[in-house]
Order: sequence, then C-alpha cells, then structure tokens
Amino acid sequence: MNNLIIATVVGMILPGIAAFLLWYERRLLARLQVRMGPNRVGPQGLWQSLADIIKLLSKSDTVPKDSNPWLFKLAPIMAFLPVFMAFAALPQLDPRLNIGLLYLVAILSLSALSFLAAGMGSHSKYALLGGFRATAQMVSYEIPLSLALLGPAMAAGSLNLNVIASWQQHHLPYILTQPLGAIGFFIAAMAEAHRPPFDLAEAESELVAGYHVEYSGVRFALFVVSEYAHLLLLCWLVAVMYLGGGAPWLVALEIMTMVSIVIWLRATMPRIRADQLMALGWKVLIPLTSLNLLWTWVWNL
Amino acid sequence: MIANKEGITQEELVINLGPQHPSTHGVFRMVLECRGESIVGVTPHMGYLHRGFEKLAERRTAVQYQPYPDRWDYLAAMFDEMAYIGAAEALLGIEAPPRAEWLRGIVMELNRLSSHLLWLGTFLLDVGALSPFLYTFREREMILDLLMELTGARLTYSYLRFGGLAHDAEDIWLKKVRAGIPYFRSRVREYRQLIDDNEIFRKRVQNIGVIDQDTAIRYGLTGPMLRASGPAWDLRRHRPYGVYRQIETPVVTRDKGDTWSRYQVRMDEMDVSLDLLDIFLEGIEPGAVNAKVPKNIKFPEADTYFAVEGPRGELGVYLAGDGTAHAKRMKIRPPSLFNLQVLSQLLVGHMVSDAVVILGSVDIVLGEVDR
Amino acid sequence: MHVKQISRGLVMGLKVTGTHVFKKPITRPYPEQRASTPPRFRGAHRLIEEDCVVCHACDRVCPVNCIVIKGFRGEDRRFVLEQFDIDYNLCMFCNLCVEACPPKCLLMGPEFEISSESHKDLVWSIKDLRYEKETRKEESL
Repeated sequence: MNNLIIATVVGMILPGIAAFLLWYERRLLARLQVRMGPNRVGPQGLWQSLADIIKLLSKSDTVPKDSNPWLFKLAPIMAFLPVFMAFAALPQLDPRLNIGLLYLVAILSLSALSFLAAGMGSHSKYALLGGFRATAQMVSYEIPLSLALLGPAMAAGSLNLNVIASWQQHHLPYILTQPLGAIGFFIAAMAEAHRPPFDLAEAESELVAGYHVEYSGVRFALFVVSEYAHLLLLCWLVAVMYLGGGAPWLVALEIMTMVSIVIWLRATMPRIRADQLMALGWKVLIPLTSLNLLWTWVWNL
Repeated sequence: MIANKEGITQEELVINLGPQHPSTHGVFRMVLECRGESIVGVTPHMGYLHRGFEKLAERRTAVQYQPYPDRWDYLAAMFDEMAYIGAAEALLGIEAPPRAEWLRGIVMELNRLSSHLLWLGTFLLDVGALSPFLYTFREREMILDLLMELTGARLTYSYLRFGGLAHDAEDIWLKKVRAGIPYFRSRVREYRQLIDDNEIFRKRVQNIGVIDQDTAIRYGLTGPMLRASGPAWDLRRHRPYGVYRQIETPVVTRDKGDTWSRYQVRMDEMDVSLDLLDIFLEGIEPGAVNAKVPKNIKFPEADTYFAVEGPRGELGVYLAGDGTAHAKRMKIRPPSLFNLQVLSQLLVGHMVSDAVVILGSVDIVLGEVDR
Repeated sequence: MHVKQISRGLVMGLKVTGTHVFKKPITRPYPEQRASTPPRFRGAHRLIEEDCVVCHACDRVCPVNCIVIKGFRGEDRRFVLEQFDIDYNLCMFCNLCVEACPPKCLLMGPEFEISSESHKDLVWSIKDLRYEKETRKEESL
C-alpha cells in the first residue's frame, strides 16, 4: 500500500520535473544563443511548458489516414511507460531493489520498440526512416551502456544502485577511478536519449521531426515528456553511478549540472551522421567500455 | 524494382524532399530514390517561385523596372541591381561618377558579407549546429541596419540608379561602417573557432560532394562553387567592372572541391570582403553621386551582356533594346541555377543527411533560380 | 592520436558558446520595444494634400499601378485633389513615386505596421495618407 502511494506521487511529480527541464533547456539554450527564450508566461516564463502542455491536451486527436491505428496509438505509451518504470530502480526512490541495474537496462531497451512502432505505424516515409534510425541507434548503444554500467557494479560487487552509490561515500567516486566508463556511459546515454548531437532520429533539417512527425496533441506531449524524463533519468544515473550521489540536495545539484552540460553540448555540436554514429558506437565506445571493464577487474584484483 | 526468387520484391524508397521542407532553402523540391539511407537517384524540380521577371522587363519601362532586380535574389539585392543598372548603363553609354562607383563597391561588399553570413548560418543549421545560425543572424542584422539607414529598406534596397545612386552616403554612415569592420573581423574569427576544429563537423563535410575541376568547368559553375574546385576565376579580378577596375581583388581558391573547400572559400571571402571594404573606405572621394541622365530613358537598338561577381557566382544580364523605353529582351544568368545543375550528379552515392548538407553548400536562393 | 585534436575542437567550441551565456540577449521584444526606423525608412506613404498639383507623375512611374489619382481644376485655376488612393495590396515600397513627385508632396513615413484583416482595408485614401504641414514642422524641430 505504501509503495503504491509513493509510485503514484512519483508518477505525478515526474512529468512536472520533465516540464521544468523543458523550460530550463529552452531558457538556457536561448541564453547560449544570445536570445531570451520563453519569458511571457509566469515569472521568467516558468509556466511556459505548462501552457504548452495544456495547449497540446486541448488539441483534437488525429490519426493519419492509411496509418496502422494500433501501432500509431500504442507507440507514445510504449515510449512513456518504460522510461517512467525505470525510475523505480533509482536509490532515492527505492533503495532496496537488488537487481536494480539489470532491471534498468532491461526496461530501457523496451523503449526502442516504441520508436519502431511510431515509424512503422505513421505511414510516412520520414517517420519510417526516423524510426529505423532510432531503433538501430538504441540497439547498438544498448551494449556500451550496459558495459559501462557493469564497471561500477563490478567494483561495488552489487547490482543494487543504492549499494553502488553508497560505496562511493567511503571510496573515490567512479568518475575518478573509471573515467573511460564515465565518458562512455555519458555518450551512450546521450545517444540513448536522442539528445543532440545524436538526435538524428528526429533531425529537423533532414527528417523534419523523424518518428514523431505525424503526431500531435496528447500523443506528441507523451513523446516530449518521455524524452525529457529520459534526460532526467540519464543525468540522475550519472549523478548516482559516477558522481557519488550523496544528500538529496547534492544529487539535485549534480543532476542540474549534468543537464546543463547536455544542453551546452547541444548548443555547440553539429549533428552526427547515421553511419558515423554506428562507427562511434561499435568501433569506439564498445572497446572503450570493455577496456574500462578490464581496468576495473585489474583494479579490484 | 528487383524481384528475387522467393517472390519478395525490393524497390527504392522514394522520398519527396520539399517544396515545403525546412532545408531546401525555399521551395526547391528533390525526389530522392534511396536504398536504405543511401541515395541512388535524384530528380530535382524547380519553378515553384517563378514570377516572370524576364518578361516583366519587356512590359515595364527602364525606370519602372529598377525595383524589380531586388526581387531576383533577395539576399544579395545590390548585385542584382548592379547587374541590371550596369547592363543598362553600358547600353545607354552612361558612366557613373567616381564617388557613386566607390559607394556601389561598399554597399556590394557589405551585401556580400550579409549574404555569406546567412549562408553560413543556414548551412550549419543543415549540418545540425543550432547556435551559429543565431550568431550569424546577429551580425547580419547589424549589416542590414547599416544598409537600411543608407537605403531605407532591409532587403529590397532600390538604391542604385541609372548613372548613380538614389542617395549620397553621409560621412557619419561611412564612419559607422569603418567602425564595424574590426568587429566583423573578430566575429568571423569566432565562427571559425566555434566550428572549424569540431570533429563532427569535419567528418560531416570533408570529402562530401566532390566536384573535380573539369566537371566544375563543364557545368558552368561560377563563384565559390568553382573556386573551391581549383580554377581562380573571379569576375572582380578577371572581368573588372566599376570600382574593381582600380584595385586588384585577391582571389580565394581551394583545390579539393568538396563541401569543406566550399565552406573554406566562403569563410575566406568574408575576410576578403572586409579587406576590400577597408580599401574602399580609404579610397572614397567626395563629389557628385549622379551623372547626367536623359529624362526619358530609351534603350538603343543594340544588345549587351554585363556580369557581376555576386556572392553565388557570375550574375549576368543580357539586355537588348529596340529604341523604346522597354527592353526588347532581357535574359538573366542566375548563378544559383547554374550551380544547382550539378546537384543531381553530386548526391548519388551519398546519404540522406549528406543530401541536405550538399544542397546547403551549393548556396541557392530560389528567387534567383526560378526568377 | 586524434584525441588531442578532437578535444581541442570541442573545448574551443564550448568556450565560444559558453561565453555567450554571460552576454545580454540581443532580442528586441517587439511590441514593447519598437523597431527603430531611420529617417530614410520606406514605410507607408504620406501625402501633403495642399501641395499636390495632380500631375500624375507618381501614377505614371509606378511599376505596379497601385496609385489612383483624380483631380479637378478649381476656381483659382489650381488643381484640387479629389481622389488619391494607394493600394497596399500591390505597392512594393520602391520609392519611385516619391522621387518622381515634382512638388515633393508625396513622402514615405516610418509606419510599417499596415497589415489588416481584409484586402479592402489595404486601399488607403486621402484621409489615411494625409500629412499636415504643421506636424511636419513639429517633427523637424
């Protein structure tokens, strides 16, 4: 019963945090580009994302002609659910989940299906190409992500994220002992969350909006919220796994720093090409994270 | 369509890029045939912005046609004006006074700078970098403000007149331009710092869309597109007109002919434009800006071709008169159209992402392509 | 290896974007902060009605025929302006009419917000274009 209440509260708060991140990104990105960003709705435009969500909710529900309605309607939910379920493994929310890491990797890889479903179901060639790109990207970056996560798990001797986090309280944080793994995880997680410069699945200059080109209204909102929840999740994971976690305010600070860095990178980097992305994943990140695993093994011998 | 033995058919994925697509720089349309992500065939379509400017020259008097060249290539309107006015002046036998020529040089180089800045921003947006677009627009806005102060409009200047200019430039305006040059120099350096050494950017543009020297000449490419492939051909240097007769314009070239070379040529050309502005501001002399022009302008029964080096290449106007105030025939040689011809050959073998980048590197303006 | 070069490019790029955070935004929030229009700005026309001699010079030079002008000879043999319409559906603000005007009674002002909900409202007549000599004097002072 207690768990159910916590889950409900978290499920209600997380979209709010995602909306806040959306506002924060727009605002910071604007400042990086000498613009102002949203500044009309509320203090410093803080309620802008709320207004956007209300607008999206009030829009009519459209399904394109000739699309596969089942896949089309299922895709946003499939994108939304795994990301939110993955939060359950975080030590701040559930410190007792012993298979945390395994659960996290398993659940996150589910969201690859949603992009494929959105691409196949939309009956649009842009969406199809975007869906293919997204799926290929997620499938190949799953491996370096898991390999990078194995490093801390091996060092701490547990799959429980709480144990991994608290292990760093009386040792050095993993970013210092496993820098290769930290870099590999960060890049792989950015690719996993489709953050620029790895946003080629929704590249607006080539595929207009990629797999969610046909979506509007509530379904589009679900995609956006899940994307920002994903961003939050990855930054949270970096904070817990590599920066050492700590007190809740410290974790929040670490998360915001990571989010700022991700946005800063977005403002600086051009988009990578699909074949180069694959080359980076298979030829650079997998050796890098494997090396990190080897290094961790030697370290702990 | 390729049928294999199990009866499963394979066919190319046909993607329609444009006319309403964010990266086609207007209303250009490409139909790409793709096998997976790689392109096997391209069919370009154009003409969505056709406004009949060549025919209009036969229906408007010479004076009435003066505002129209602004609308051909709305990003570098001064060059269009110069091409039309220069052709008409050659036909009528009018010479603009020296101060007018110097001022024409200044506004044209300013306009080249603003056009290249817009190209840089949109090209990097095609590659996927978000910020340079806004940075270049900040600088472009300053140039547009300068030109607005001088001419009264931001894009469609309507500034050049037969045998002179619409207004003389005040000394304070010239001072403003002079004060702006060091600022623009530092900005161009900053763009190079931001993007030149970026590994992703280099990987995205190097060895993409290679045009060899021979192909470039055969397709009639001009401007940065040609100079990126090797030939040092710049009308400002080799067929000088106006103020460029008095100075020696440096010609920027690269030899590889890929997208990276085209980027480099245009970036260096911005520096050259700033150097030229320095020279022009030094050399400008006081005096009248309008020559004596007959009240009723009638084109004589003759024809002429006059070309200027626009930011995109050779912008020429063929003008034939028949003794009336209307042109008998006018033909525009738009550089974008000629540069665009090579596109279908460039894209084959590349990927969909590259198609957008290569199209961006060609630097087309649809108003000019379709006229 | 490449690593040094890659990281150098990355750091330089991050430096350029990062320094921009501390700069003031250059956006001008439009309705509150007006766009500046220099004196030569070519906006909506202004007509000094009394000076007009109904010579049709503006009408004749207009490339798009957007000016309709009518007048009659008054009692003191001077022309009086009866109708002067500019159709802003067609006008392309090229300044040729202003340059052609012999008594310099047609000017171009700084107004650029002339959009309207219907095509009909874009045809401006004398009363929309009228520009008093007094206000002109005040403005020049």
